[in-house]
Amino acid sequence: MRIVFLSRSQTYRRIETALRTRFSAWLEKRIPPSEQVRLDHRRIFIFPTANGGLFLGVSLVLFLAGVNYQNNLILALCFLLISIFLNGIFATYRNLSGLVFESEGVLAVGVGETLNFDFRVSGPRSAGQALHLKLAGQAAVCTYYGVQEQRVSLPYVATRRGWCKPGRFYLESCYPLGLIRAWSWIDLGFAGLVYPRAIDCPVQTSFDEAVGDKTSGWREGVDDFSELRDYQYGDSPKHIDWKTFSKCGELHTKQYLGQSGESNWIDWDEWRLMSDERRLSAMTYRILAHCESREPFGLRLPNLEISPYMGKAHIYRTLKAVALFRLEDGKTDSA
Amino acid sequence: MNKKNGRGLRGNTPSFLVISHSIVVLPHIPNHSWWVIGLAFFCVLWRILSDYGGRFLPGKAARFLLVLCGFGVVYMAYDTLIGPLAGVALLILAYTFKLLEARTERDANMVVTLSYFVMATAFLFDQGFSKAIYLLFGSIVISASLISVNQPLITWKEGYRSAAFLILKCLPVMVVLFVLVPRVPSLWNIQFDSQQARTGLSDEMSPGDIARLGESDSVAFRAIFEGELPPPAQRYWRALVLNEFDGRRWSRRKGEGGHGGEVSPEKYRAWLLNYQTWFHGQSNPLVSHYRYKVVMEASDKPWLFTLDWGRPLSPDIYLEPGFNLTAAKPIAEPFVYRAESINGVGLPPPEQMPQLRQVRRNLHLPDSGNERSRRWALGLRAEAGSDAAFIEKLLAHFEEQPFFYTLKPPLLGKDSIDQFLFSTRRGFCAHFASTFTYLARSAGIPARVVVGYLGGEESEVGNYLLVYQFDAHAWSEVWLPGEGWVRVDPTAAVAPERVDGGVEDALFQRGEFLAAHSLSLLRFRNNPSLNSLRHGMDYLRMLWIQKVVGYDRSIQAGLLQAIFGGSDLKTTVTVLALGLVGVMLLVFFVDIWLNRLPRASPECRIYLRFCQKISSYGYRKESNEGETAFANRIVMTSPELAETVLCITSHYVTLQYGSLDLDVSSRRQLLKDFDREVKNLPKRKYFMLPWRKLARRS
Repeated sequence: MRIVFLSRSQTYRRIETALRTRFSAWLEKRIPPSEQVRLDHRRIFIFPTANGGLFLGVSLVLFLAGVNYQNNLILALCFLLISIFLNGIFATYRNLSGLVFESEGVLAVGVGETLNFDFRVSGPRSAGQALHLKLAGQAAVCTYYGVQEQRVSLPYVATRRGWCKPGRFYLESCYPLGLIRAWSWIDLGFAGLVYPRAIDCPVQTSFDEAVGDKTSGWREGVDDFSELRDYQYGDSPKHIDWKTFSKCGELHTKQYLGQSGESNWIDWDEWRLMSDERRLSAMTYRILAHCESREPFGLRLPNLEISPYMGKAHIYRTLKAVALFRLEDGKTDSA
Repeated sequence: MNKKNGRGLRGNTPSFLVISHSIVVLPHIPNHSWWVIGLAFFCVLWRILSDYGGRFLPGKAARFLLVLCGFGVVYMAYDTLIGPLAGVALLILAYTFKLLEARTERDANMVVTLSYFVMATAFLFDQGFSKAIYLLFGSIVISASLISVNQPLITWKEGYRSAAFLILKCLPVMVVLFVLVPRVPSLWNIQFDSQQARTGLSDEMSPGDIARLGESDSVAFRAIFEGELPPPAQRYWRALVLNEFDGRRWSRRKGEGGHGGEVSPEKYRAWLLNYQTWFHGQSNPLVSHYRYKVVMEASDKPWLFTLDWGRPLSPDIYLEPGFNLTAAKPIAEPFVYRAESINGVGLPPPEQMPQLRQVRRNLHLPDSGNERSRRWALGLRAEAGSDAAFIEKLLAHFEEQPFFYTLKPPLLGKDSIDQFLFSTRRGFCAHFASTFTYLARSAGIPARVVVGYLGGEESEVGNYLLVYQFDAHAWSEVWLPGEGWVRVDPTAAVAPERVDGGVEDALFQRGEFLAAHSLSLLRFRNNPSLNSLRHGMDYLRMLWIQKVVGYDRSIQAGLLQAIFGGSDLKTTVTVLALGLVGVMLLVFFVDIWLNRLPRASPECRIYLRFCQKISSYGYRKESNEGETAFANRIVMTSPELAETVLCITSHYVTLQYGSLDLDVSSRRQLLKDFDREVKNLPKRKYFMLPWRKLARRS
């Protein structure tokens, strides 16, 4: 048998971790994650605030004074305060009860940028006043004064690539009197894709190769104008020939050399001398550049090859591949 | 510090706080030195200036100075830092300083919660009906501050409106708690001295003492009789027996206060038992029997009032050896007790009552002084032949000689009795009672002075007597062998109308009655409507004292017994829980029901006001008519209104139908203009003939 002696702080930390795990497990059972959460008595926690405690303390002192001095007016005021307090419990509870939260998805961002987790709050009339929202782990506080239905977005700064799952967000309200705090932890299954930070890196294939060699795919002269063709839905407004439009009123799109159909490959092997993360950053930069210029491109990763194509879905697919490259699911950024 | 709690004050919150501070401090003003109040309002002024004219709230040093200053002012005003008044003054100042330094929402919340407490301390000194109204009003104002701190964007109107609704919603629960929360006995016993001078009887009597009460128009007590009211001549309310005389002042014998006094408990109980036997043994038809409830105002003295001869019916009040009633401690709050009396018989034959105190003690006189009166009394006694005849002769002397009953007698010197009897001959009841008792004692008849009240106004509203402070009276009791103690009122010989009609009749011709209270309602007793008003007000106050101020454990127990058939703790708690849940659910559902319809938008309300106004011109908007069509119809027939009506309508249309393009501030501005336009539209004042109205409508 092995006996492990733990220092005091270690013991505390272990106990804390154990408690925290048990608490999250309990919470998971009580308020399971879902795309849509409706607040009800099972999901709302309620407790007096510090001022509520003071308020009750004052009521108690008044009660003692009223009893001792046999002063019924002081007793009456004491009972009025208790009544206000009870009313506060009702009002604070009603303010949260019946609110419905629906997740609305999130746009993928790079590391260091802010993910905006959007969701919709709707509720019965007059509910949802003065809500304070806080996404766990980060101090982002968002206050919202109730309108019947409102879109709220919770900002969260992404720190690592992969799936960003900030988990539950905390929601509280002391409306209307600040005596009672009602709160809940809501998990709308938030998951935002975070791709690597985009860094422009020169291509390096081997130790001695010079910077900026164009072995494959990447071509200068994106700006080399080749021809005009009819406008198609989805063409970038930057490429519309506005001069022609002003003359004859028809939309034409300028065709450039780079777009002439020859496919470009973004290849893992192009940046041999760099660390994996750096390589991924470089690839991300290139994907975004292609996205900007609307050029078709393909992606080669050691375990994956995506053939050249263009369009939103393609870009998302490639970014996702880069973002999740060599990441186990467990290693996602979750708070 | 938590980020949220550290948030600064926004919106109107500082002004809300300042207003609730003023409301809280206002009822304290009469009780406190102007220095304390001045310092408090100086701090408030600082706060206001700082809120409106840039930030210069006090720093650490200034706050320290202010606190020192506060202690100094309180010490200067009260010579102490403890005790109820100084304590409340310190509390007020602490609360004010907290208001002055409140910068964050957390501070503000604390200030508001303290406000309730400081307001409550004002009720320590007075529990009148007006204070109850103030309680509700103050709670609304303070709660509005609480709402404003926690909803900083709220407007004035919305803040006070929602606070009023809040208090309204809380009242039913408050009443349930007030009635049903088990009343526990005092946890520790504090003798609370309000340090306020109150008018009332004192346990000493010098010449001129009672006359001072004669100038007070406040109510001393009310007596609610179960049966008939006693006739005016029998409304002698005994309060105190004074049997020690020092040549000028009558007082109680030392050690005689309290139930039993120096007597051992066994002896006292035996005496009480004897008295009760005697009391219930009175079956003579000439003896009248009264049962009554007395609702008295605070007097800060323990003595109570009974008709002669009284017996207590309520617990915690006692019979003293002088056959007067007393409470266990001074009456600092309005008080209710029950008693019964028998009237019309001397008290009590000595063979039936083993003497607690020798009757002969009531012969004691100072060794010297007032020699002339002493000799005169001895002469008169020798002339009369018997005690009873002596008393008759003495009263006749008062009646025949030029003695006057007046509130403003001349001041008396060292031998006060001699001076009064032979030279001044003008006096109030105290002079007569004192002189009579002195003369009786000089003649060898045991006699004593009794102070209390004589009279009582019959209320128009209930079967009860109203006794005022100016009804205070002093008379004598003499001990006659075979009869016991017998009441003799020498004042009645001089001014019989004092007994039959009260002080105001006796003093009417001299114009002395309530001369200092020219506005007192009592001076207008001949005006029946004012009389009813006064009696009605007193009736309300009496109800208030009985039902609210006097609501205690025994009344609660009686109530529970009557309604739920039990008053034990289990029943009380069950009833309380059920009542609380029931009332809360009721309030909850009424609240939901009242709010079931969305409130009309502000522009709709203003437009409705416009419709109301324009209807005075004879125009009524049809339900199928659009706003613009309605306006056009008005313009067609009343071109003089064209400009206003079109402007109002276009405002309304923009606000109601085009408001998506408006941002918040311009919308607010537009609403303001709209409101002003409608306000400026004059209502048609003159009468309009009905056919013209018809013509306009079609």
